[in-house]
Amino acid sequence: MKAKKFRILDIAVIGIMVAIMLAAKVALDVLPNIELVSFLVIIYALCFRWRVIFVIIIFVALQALLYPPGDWIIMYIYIWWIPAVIGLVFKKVDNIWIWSMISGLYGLFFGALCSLTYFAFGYIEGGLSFGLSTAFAKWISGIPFDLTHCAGNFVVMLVLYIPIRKALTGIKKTLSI
Amino acid sequence: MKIAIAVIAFILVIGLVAGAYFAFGPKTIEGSKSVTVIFTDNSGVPDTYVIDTDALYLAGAMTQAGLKYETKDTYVTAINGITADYDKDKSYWAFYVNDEYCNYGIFEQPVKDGDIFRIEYTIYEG
Repeated sequence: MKAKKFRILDIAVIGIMVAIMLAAKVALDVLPNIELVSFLVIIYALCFRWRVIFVIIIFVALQALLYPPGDWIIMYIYIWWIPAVIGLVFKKVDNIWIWSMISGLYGLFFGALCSLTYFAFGYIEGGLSFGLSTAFAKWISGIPFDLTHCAGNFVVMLVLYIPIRKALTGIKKTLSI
Repeated sequence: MKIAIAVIAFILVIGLVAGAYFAFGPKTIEGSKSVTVIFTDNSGVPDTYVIDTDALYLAGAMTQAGLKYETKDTYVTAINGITADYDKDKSYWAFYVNDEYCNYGIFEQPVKDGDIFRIEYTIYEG
């Protein structure tokens, strides 16, 4: 199998994907835990495949430049790879309900995934037990937000999956990428 | 059929997570409680308030102590007119209960008899 070359067109597409993601993130910052980034990561992974890797790297780097530093940077380093990998692995799944539920579950466990960072902090500070209790407390305290995140992700995917996937698939064919 | 099973599993998982919150989340206590609120603004001088309160959450106890807060979503931005703006100078309001950093926001942090709350204007020094 012949390896595909990284073309100028790919760079342009990746740039546009990052710009859309960043704009979506900033636009919805006012609504706590309602976001489009999860949706975009999944849909980019499904439609534009490996390019999502570069999108995430650039997106996280730009976030780190734009926002004040904090624990969130550590979380952002790993958190967006999860929906990306799911999108890459289950590329053949084309069911709106499945993707809505996957996106919803990702929102539901977003806090749990973020609490892994607090586990690490707690572990460094006071050992395994302290790490676990810190992570658990952080996860539990954020569950109301996770439930909102779950509902938001579910609805966003339910509403946007079909039109956006269709549009992106069309763009991909037009650009022959 | 497979989708129906997936939907049921999805709802069950949501229920389990919500159940975990009700089982292990913050528990409020009805009735009168005596609590101490130590408030330190940007002058660095602490003011101590000892109050008897029926408030279930820290926000209520703060109001009773005469601390007027302003919030953005659930994040406290200003107390008694003093704004902490992380974007501007890395300042924020830090909340402690019995010397532990509060795991909950002021609208969720339960108040128990004998609790000592510290509310401090803090500048991040990372």
